[in-house]
Amino acid sequence: MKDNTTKIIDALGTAYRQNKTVPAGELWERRVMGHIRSLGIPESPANFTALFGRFVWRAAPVACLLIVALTVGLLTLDYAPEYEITATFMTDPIESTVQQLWGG
Amino acid sequence: MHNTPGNPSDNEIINRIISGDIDAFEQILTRYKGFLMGIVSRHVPYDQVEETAHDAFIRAYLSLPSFKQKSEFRHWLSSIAIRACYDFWRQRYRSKEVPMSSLTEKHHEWLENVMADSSNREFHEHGSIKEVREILDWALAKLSAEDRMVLELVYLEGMTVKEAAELLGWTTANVKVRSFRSRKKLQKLLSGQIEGGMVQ
Repeated sequence: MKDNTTKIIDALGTAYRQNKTVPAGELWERRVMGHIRSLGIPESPANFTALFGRFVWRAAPVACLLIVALTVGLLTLDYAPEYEITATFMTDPIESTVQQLWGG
Repeated sequence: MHNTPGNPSDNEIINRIISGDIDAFEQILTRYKGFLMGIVSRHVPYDQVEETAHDAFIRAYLSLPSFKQKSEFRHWLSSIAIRACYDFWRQRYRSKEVPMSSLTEKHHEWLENVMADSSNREFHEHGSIKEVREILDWALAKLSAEDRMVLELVYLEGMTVKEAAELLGWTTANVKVRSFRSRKKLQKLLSGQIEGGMVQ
């Protein structure tokens, strides 16, 4: 035998399924179509893979130029980081300032 | 839908819309307005059906390019309609616009009559359909938007957990847990009323 609440839920379900459908009138249909026309043609969703690909290829020449410029810069300036740091320590006008900065 | 010269298939109409023939959507609207109104009428209050159905058709129109034409359009559209109804309730609960009515003597009488009846008489033999709907609305208003939708789909419409999950776009595990909890909550609400009614 079903318990009381199950009996009630079943009865509520029957009432629920007998709900009347609201008829769609002509005026409503015209309103929806008016709204649709105001929206224009539906656009395809953004394809992130395609967008990423396009962005990467657009940025590629800039990245190449940057790499070349940095390489040339480093070669022409003859920059050696270890040498530069040692030189800074050696030529430190105020004693131990740079050392303190570097945690010495 | 079968393809005949005077009756183009759904996919044909959709392709025409996407390629710029906006007016072709009227055919979709005419074809599915009754179906969609039927779904929405079951889930939202009578005076909000037209607006929610309007919203669902707009969503469907804007999402047409993402519709995979291998699946059935009717099913895709029903999923959009269900989500529009769910969003309607979410918005209603958030703005606290859900009416919290209380049950009257007549409602308690109906509950007692249904419980006392050992035969399987129809519910309307115990009272009017209006009263039953009022009891249902009262109980559903006490649940969250999520619980409400799951309860309506699984217990009141008799869908499987998988079907409900597909329509709502949730996982089956989520729907299973929610349907169990929402039924428990509904049972608790009703048994509270039954006990209260008995005391009175």
